[in-house]
Amino acid sequence: MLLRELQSLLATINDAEVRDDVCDYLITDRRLVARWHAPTGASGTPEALLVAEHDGALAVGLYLDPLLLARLAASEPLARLDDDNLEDFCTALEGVSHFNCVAFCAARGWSVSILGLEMQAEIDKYAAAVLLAGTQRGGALVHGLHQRLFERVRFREDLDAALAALYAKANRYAARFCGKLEERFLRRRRARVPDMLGELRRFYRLGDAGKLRCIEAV
Amino acid sequence: MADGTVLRVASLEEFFRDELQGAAEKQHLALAGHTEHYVVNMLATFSRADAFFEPTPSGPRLKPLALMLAEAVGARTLAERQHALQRLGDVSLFIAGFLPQSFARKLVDIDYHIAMGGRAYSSLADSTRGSARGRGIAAVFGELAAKFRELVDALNEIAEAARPPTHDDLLRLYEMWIKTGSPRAAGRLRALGVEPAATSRVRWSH
Repeated sequence: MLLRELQSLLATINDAEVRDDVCDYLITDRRLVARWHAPTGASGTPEALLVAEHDGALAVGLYLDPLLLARLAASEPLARLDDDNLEDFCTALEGVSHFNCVAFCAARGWSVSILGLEMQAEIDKYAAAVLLAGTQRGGALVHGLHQRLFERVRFREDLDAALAALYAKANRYAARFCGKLEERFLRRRRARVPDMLGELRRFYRLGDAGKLRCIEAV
Repeated sequence: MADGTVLRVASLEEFFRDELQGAAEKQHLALAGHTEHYVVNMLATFSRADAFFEPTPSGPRLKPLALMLAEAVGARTLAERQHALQRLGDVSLFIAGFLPQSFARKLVDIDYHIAMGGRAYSSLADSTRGSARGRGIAAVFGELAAKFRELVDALNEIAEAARPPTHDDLLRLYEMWIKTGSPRAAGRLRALGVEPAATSRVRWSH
């Protein structure tokens, strides 16, 4: 299944293997989401990670719109990422990124914030898209990818002001980090992708506060 | 073999060597002895499903090429990287050469496999060339990279000998010629009564 492949792709990029299979936690029925969390169920969002902590145990479910999943599977983004499927790809990848990040941190007893999850998801989207698009159709999609993912971005209108500000901050920080990656590793005669992965893997393990400090320093 | 009967062979390696030599001669493709040996071994190995597919919790599956590439790029050691690149090159060559009909049902093009496989072998040639021990195998990977499309043509020839062409094959041959400019596809189209027109080819850059 495509989601499992996206999970493997992110695990490889960040060298962060997660034992739990994302497909075992997938929810495609919006009514179930509404039962867990009414506002999310009513929001119309195509992707949501539901997390609840109870008696020291973590309950997790990843909702993804079934129509989005069907469209994405039919368009084979791992071999053919293009203008038509980029948005669906990013939406699904964001969900898998959240799932991986929560599972990875929980297994180590690390805390993770919404800002940290959102920022990591933005960075994961950029890294995965660069890696895939760089090998497809002469790398055409890579040019302008940073601008598409970070500048031409829009947020859901039903978000409250605090959450919208948090998403905007995550986007801003991720844009800065990925811009620096692009400058250091990709805008050269010969791209240094293995070095870029090394930097991504180091960053993944910094923790939320460390990640913010790292970005502020670049 | 084209009449659908089962052909008994004493050794798969000998069978593939004979078939490859015949197909290469027909395609005017000259291969060094070590390269021919490499391809024959790869074909014989991948004729076993457990060598071609990878075991997963949901059964034997083939990993997407992009994931294989990601593993190669992110490998911790040179040996791991070379192993991953070799698998990527071999799987790409086998699918494009031996299972070309699988592209008819997919959006993924044969030229994507040719580009991925060719680049994997080319990277392997670069990374093995440095050592005295690696120089011989570097020449093999270099030849596989340089003649990847021609090899795909030769393997297509072997695969197609196993079954007569259908209308779907005609369409697939035309698509392959459009995408890769394969001389073999052009020759087969002519043999089936279709003259490929040069103006209809799309230029692809990889």
